[in-house]
Amino acid sequence: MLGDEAFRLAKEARDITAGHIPAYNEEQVRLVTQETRYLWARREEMNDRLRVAESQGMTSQLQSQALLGGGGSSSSQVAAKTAAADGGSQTQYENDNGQAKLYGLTVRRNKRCLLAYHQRRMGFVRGLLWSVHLAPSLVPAELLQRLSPEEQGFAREYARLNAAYRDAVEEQLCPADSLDWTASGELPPRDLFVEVRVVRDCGEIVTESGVVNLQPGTQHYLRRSDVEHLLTIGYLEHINPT
Amino acid sequence: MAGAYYDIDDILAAQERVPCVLQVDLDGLGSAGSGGASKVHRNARWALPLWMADGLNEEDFVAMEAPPVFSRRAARMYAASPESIQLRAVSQHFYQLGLQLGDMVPDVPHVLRSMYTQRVQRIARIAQQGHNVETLDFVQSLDRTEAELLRLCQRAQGAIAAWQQGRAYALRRAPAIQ
Repeated sequence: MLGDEAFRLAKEARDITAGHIPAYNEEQVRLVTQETRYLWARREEMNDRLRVAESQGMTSQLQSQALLGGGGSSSSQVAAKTAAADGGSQTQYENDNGQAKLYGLTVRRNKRCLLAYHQRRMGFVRGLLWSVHLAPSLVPAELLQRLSPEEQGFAREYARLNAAYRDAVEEQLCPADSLDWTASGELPPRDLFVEVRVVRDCGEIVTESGVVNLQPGTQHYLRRSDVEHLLTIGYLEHINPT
Repeated sequence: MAGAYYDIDDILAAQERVPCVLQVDLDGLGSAGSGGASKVHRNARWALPLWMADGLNEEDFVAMEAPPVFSRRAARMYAASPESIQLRAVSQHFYQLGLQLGDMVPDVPHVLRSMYTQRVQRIARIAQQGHNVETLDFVQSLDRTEAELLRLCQRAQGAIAAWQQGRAYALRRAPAIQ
């Protein structure tokens, strides 16, 4: 049925959660945009035909009015209907009208599904970016692959714009310091230092107090800002939070 | 954003079928793959998705009727035992569909309200007390709206416990990263 392809996209959009996004379904998007363009072309054709029929009906109506010398319905649609010589073309006229309307409804439905699909994906990408503190390099390749090239470009550009804005604000507000506005707004940081356990090998990291070797299974008491990115990607685990 | 336009639940619910009587011949109503032979003729009864039926009904290309989900007989059944109805089997989008039909079928708001107020109490209880084998049937019978509500309640319960146990401020892995 018309609109089924678009509905498939809607269902894929439904499956997007904070933790999961299916791969960008380029094929399905192409199918829907193709169907939409086709239907729109057909609809334009039909509307042209209908306009011709209506104007012919008008002409006949005007002719018959002139003959009868009386007033009549001013609707050109009624004129087309009544001026039809045989019931066949009247039926065809009504069918075409309905068909054109159906195509128009489907086009609009397709558009809505396409927009909703892309908008939800974009929302996911945005949320993902903020959760990795606007560092697209922290996103695992496997996850990046599920995004379309345009979405990846969007991620990079969004992070870049934010960084540029932050730099501009820093320059004005606090030239000597740096702002971290990707820190969670809902949970303000409680401690300067956090206790962490190493889940995956991180190698050595440089902290303010020197170099620390993060071997799996070890625990450390480190400055939050030094290790926050490792916590974000799950390499470290935060233990005994207050 | 722009309210209901982008709301995925709204979009999904509008795909539910309602019975219609066609007033004209229409093409493209068959299932995929039936190609040119998919013309449905006037005066035939055909179940159309709500988004299609509503638009066509406005200009009298079809005569739209109330879906069986909200028939009088169905409404009586709902009123009799709201908590034991397999709502998911009736319609995954029961409440959403009812909202969209609103004006068309006069009793719908009342049916929705009584169904909801009965079931929502049980949902809240399950969220608080946890669910077990007995409540499994009910939980599986929830439609999308109710299931989302249950999830929210459970998350809220979890958040209370987490805060009490000092886990609320733990720095966590980003949810999308495995």
